[in-house]
Amino acid sequence: MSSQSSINQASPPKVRHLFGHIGYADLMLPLLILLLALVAVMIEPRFLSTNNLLNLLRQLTPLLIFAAAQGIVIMSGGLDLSQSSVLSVAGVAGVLVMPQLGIGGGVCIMIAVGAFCGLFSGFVVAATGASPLIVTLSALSITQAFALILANGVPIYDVPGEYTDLVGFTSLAGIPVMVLIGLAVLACCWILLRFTVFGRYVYAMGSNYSAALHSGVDVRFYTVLVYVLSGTCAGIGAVVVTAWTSAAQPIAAPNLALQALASVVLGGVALKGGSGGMIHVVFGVVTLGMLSNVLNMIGVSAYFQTLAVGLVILLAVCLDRLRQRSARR
Amino acid sequence: MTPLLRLVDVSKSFGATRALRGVSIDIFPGEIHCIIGENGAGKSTLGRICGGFVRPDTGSFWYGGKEVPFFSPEEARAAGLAMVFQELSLAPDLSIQDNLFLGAEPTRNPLRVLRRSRERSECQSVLEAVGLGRIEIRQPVGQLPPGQQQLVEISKALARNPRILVLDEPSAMLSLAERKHLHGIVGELRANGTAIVFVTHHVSEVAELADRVTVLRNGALVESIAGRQTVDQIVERLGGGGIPAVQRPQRRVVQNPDNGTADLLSIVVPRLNGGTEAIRVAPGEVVGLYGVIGCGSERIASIVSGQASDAASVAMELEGQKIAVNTPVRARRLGIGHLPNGRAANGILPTRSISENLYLRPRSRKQRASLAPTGGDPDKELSEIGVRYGNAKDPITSLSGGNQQKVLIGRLLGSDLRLLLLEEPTAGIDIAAKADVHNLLRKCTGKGWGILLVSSDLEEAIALSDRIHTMFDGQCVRTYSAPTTGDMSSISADVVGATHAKDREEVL
Repeated sequence: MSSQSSINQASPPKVRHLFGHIGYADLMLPLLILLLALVAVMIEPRFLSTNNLLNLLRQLTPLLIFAAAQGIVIMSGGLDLSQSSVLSVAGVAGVLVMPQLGIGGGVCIMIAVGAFCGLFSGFVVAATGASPLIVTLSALSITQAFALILANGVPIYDVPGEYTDLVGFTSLAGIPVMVLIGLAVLACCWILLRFTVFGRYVYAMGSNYSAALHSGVDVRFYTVLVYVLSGTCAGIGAVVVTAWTSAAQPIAAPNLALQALASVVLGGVALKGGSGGMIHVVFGVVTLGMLSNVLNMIGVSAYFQTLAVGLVILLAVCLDRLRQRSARR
Repeated sequence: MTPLLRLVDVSKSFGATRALRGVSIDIFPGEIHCIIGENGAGKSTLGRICGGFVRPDTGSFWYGGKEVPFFSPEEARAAGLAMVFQELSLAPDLSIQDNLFLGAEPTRNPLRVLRRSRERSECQSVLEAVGLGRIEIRQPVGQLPPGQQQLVEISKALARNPRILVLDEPSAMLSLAERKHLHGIVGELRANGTAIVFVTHHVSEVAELADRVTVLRNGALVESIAGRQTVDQIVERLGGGGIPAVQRPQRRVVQNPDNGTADLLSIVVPRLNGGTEAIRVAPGEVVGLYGVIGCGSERIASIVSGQASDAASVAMELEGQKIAVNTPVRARRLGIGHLPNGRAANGILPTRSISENLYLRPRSRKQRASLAPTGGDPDKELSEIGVRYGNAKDPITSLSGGNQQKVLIGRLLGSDLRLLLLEEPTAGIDIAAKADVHNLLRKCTGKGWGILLVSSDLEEAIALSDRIHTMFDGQCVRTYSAPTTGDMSSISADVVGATHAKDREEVL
């Protein structure tokens, strides 16, 4: 009964730090990825060909960019549902100005529009303390509306050929430019999280908001920054998607934000915030991407694919709870 | 010598509660200033005002000999003031190192890149100072035992090289050895000219450390004395003379514990200075647990109400049967009703009506068959328990705190229970409502229910209880049968560890 006795029991030394943030529950995903790869190779030996792998990477790039940003938002204790529609409005705006401002100008506009949308959401969340779920849901509607209004409700196919060639189909050292963009975003997010004050504050706010506040962290400023980062990534996503599809859709990739959310949780980032890393984001994205790739190969119909993805996400959420419970013990 | 920090005639109210009334204190460099008082005396509020986390209603504030506006948290930090909080300000998922420098990273470059190696060496030296020299600094703080977390919290304040260090109940979570270490650190800081404000309710600590003692009672200053004091001198001022005599209500039916009836509840807790003590509640009895915050009575409450995950580790019997209550639902099935602490957070549904709040209780088989949203005649029940209200469909928040509390007790009264666990049943309600609540409780004991009362209101505990167990540091200090107001000073001394301290003095 005595509180004394529980205090005096020193916890056994932990060796977990050797592996960074990776615990035993986190090893399940790499195993799943290996299993999926094995299945894929058995069905289709060409799965391991450079061509197919590069193609897989290309398919994963938009999801990777979204998930990296979503991961940071979730680690900070927030949520961004507006990514897809921010991508849409950024893409439409950028492609519309491309004839006047050129490719560089268009790309800049896409990123700027994305950043501005993030600034808006972040400002509302930080200033009012409203739930990020509701704020970004409203931002989703607002940005979606602007995308539809700007594009007049129809896709814009008037995309310069040099632009789609450069971003969508050129390779540097054998790696497609869009994949390089995705990897660069991933690397930036990793560096921010690992080596800067920003990263530490992201974890601190997600782990215990009032502790961060009492410690002197400017929580409002960093909340805004987190959403600006997410918006900026949505803008970069717009660059990749418009170039790859040679069009600016007013409703582009509507499911991408939810898939990003799913892969972040699947990868093992706790939904309540404060933990996880880019390694988890990568695991989640690769698992989800491989899953649909393999299902395609086996010839499973799209309907059943949707079902499979849903089940995997359910599994991820249960794993998340399990991890939290074991962490509390 | 001019005081470094000076609060003059400071008052602060939270709602209807007056936490501080016209308190003045002086804080000098190179001095340990202990602030002592019982629960609700205003100690923590005073500490928080120094740190800028609470803004007083009236009063003036002097820093370095000049009158300045009250600090904001940022200004307090800039002035070199560091605070150690009672509720820790640590992020559990962050490592020890990350927590230590949170908000005060030693980096100035524009990208704000962390300087981990520099942090690591500073971190090591600060942790060594608090006796955590061999700890792995990369492990998450949440995995440490509470005592070590407290030491990390203290290190965090030390890492900021404060001119004034405010410690709010720093030793509540610490073992004796850790406490000694803390006292050593505080002594060193004093020698280096740091001003230390030590908020505590442990008399022995005050006697050991203080260069100046401020005693608070009910938000008012009793005395501020310079120089070291003995345990007796402090206890005298703490409980001293000012306690008004309580009109003793008529004694309840006191059952003879030896008459053969099995106890409703028996729970074994360690006794101070070795051995164990069984806390027993017989039918129709009120048993009080009295102690300051962190004394362990909260834990007993969580075990009895089924909220402790390790309830099985405690020897608890219900009507002679060994039992571990592992969920609140099970507690309720066993006939244990619980009135939790914190009416607003854990009691009422603030957005719902009075009757919905009243009928938020498990339904009987018969009631379950009906689809009616409430289980009976709310007006009849509400008038029985003496709630003053307009319409049962009004929101519960339209009632005064006292009437809300009566509704919560009415919620329990309507169920078939054997044992009531009450935590602070009259916290923050006025005297008339308090008397009503006490009458309701006597009605319960009249029905043969037992009551386990956790109260930090000593007068109430004495007025209601057939027996009081005083608690300190997770242990039972002494047991008072049929307590009277004459026991007050002795009880007050028990719960601040004076008994403990004196025994130790004798041993030494």
